[in-house]
Amino acid sequence: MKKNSYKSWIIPLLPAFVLLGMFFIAPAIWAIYVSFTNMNLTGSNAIHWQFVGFYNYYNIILDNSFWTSLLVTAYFLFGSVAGQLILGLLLAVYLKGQKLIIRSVVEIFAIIAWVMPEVVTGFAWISFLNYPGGLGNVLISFLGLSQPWLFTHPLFSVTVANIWRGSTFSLLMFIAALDGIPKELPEAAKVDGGNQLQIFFHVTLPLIKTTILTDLVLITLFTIGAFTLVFTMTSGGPGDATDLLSIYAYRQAFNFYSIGYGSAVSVIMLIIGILLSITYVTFGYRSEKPEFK
Amino acid sequence: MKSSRILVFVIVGLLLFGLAVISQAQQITLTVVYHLVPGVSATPAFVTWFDKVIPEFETSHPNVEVKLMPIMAAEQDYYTKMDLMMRSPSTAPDVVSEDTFMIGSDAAAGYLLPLNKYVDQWSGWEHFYPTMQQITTINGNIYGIMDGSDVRGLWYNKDILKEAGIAIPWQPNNWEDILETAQLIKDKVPGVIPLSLHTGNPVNTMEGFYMLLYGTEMGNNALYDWSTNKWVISSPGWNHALTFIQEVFKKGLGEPVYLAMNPQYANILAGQYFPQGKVAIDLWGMWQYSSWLSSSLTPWPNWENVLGFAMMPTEYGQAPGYVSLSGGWALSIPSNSKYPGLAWDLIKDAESAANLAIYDYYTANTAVRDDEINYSIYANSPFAATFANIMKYTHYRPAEFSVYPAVSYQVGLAMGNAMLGKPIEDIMSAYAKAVEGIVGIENTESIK
Repeated sequence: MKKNSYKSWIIPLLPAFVLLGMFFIAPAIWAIYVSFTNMNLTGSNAIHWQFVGFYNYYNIILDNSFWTSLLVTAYFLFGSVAGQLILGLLLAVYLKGQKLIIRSVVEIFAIIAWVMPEVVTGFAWISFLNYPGGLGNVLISFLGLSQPWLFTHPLFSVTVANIWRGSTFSLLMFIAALDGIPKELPEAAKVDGGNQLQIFFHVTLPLIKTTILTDLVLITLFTIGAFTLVFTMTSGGPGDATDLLSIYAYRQAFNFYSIGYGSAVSVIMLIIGILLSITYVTFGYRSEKPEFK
Repeated sequence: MKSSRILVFVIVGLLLFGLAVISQAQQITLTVVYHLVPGVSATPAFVTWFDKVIPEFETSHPNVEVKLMPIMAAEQDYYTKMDLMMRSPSTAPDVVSEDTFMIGSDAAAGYLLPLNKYVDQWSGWEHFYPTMQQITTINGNIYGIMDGSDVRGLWYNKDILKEAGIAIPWQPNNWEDILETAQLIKDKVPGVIPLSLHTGNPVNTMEGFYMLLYGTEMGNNALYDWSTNKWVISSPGWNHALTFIQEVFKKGLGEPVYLAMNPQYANILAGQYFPQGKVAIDLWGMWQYSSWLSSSLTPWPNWENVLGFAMMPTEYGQAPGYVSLSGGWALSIPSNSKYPGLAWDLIKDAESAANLAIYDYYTANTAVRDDEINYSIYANSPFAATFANIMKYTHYRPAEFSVYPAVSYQVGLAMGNAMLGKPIEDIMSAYAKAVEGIVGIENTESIK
């Protein structure tokens, strides 16, 4: 019996394990290995590379540009995650009470923004923020705020673009979560005299806390790995104003040809992602504990 | 009877199949990889060049087909893609167009084939200028054949300068002359960019910064000191070059900063600002005019009458008086090429004086052979004598070092920060620290 049950799950899962092993685990292990070498794409180290221990990591720590990129990534991450979470949640709550037609139209537009290739999104935003004459600048010209945004506020601009693009994911998750709340609960709260805000904070929000946590973990991981949108819009510039860790790693590996060094930066990004996920989950689990008692 | 017919059919069929296989096997394809820069010309100069070379080559090599493989990418991504292709025998092309600054490191990586045994038997090699031979020669091995070089200087709009009361032809003798002229233009011809410097794009270090730095007291040793083999991380010349940039932008003489930061600035300038008479002086390369030829996407028939080209003076006009930076591209054979002998035959055809004269005209480059001038297309190319004269003042980047791209990126940041008005001392100390990290503190020096 036991043998049968073992077979019943291992065989269907085998293709997934093989694919995961080939396309994720093996490259990840290879990247970790390469991060301990001085492998280059060109020059003598392209063929005669050696194991150099923690030398790449040591150099990364000494490199001011790395710390700048880390800070830029932190701002971008915080802004994007907070923006996507709040915007997604607000839209989901708004749509919850709307007619099906309005809900469908908004969802379709949001999904279009989400599925659009990031390169296209990047160009759309460059055009929108173009100065002078971009639609965004024209729309706010009556406020006297027209300016070359990608130059005057580059990090803010790319963060807004990323929020615009990524909020759909949160929206879809929250719509599903809100649909799962039994109607009786908010109605009961209403009967007990709760207003809209009280119902939202004391009934709705606690009930979708797990979804918020899952959303938080996923969009954090998406954002840490973000590259294409920002690279298309600014290439990390002007100067190093939008130089995300992913762009820093790319530049080291493919512009300076230091594959080993670039891999080490990627490994650091992986560690940051894992640490943040563990923190969220631990924090979320602790705060949920009382509810299980 | 029936079975013997079938047998005959089978035998004939097999023979035909065998012949087809043999003829297929004898058909060889040579792949030539080149960098396609979008937005300049409907037919890239490289294609115009090989459109002439390929029929000649295929006539003398009937079983060989030449296939051009363009890589449309940013310049640095082109090198990356090409290196990745050359690494593997299954993807290596047969001929590659290499920027000479990559030849040293690609040769060290074992990607390129030494061409000495071919060059030794080629009479054409004697016609290449010695400097053009040396650029692609590393430790006695020749890794590429140059197909063009370039110089940099000051493009200027004669009409605008005349309007500002400046005598034409204009030739500044030192940096102060340039600043004074730009100030005059700003005062007398409002609405134009007095002095465009290209300092906003970190990849333009040669135009935006080295044209200044190499014109300071240390000259050819200003970036990398060849007498001590160390990188100069701080010097009065560095200070002066950064200060010049800062002064230009502080006084409002440069291009609008948001425009300078636009990666397409050079194309915008060539396609719009120059023809519309919106820029007075532009520190840039000679290849600019390829954007205005009749074959380009933005033809400007009148450009030769409107524009002049002045040499860039040294800081105080000190000897040798002028400065330029040069680069260039070469054709090389990857060591993983399956048909190096045929690839060499193709390079030989492409690098004949007649064919190079065509290419160097369309790509707006200077000749690399002394006999290109014998062909009217090159001999009649615009400003040919001016550009040829500047070659004697030119310098080359210390690009043979594998750390060069990383150092160059830091130079790009430094010039950008100078443009943005950050304190010069902070910029220099950030550059010094970064370069110490890249090349090792023992390989750097500060000049008081």
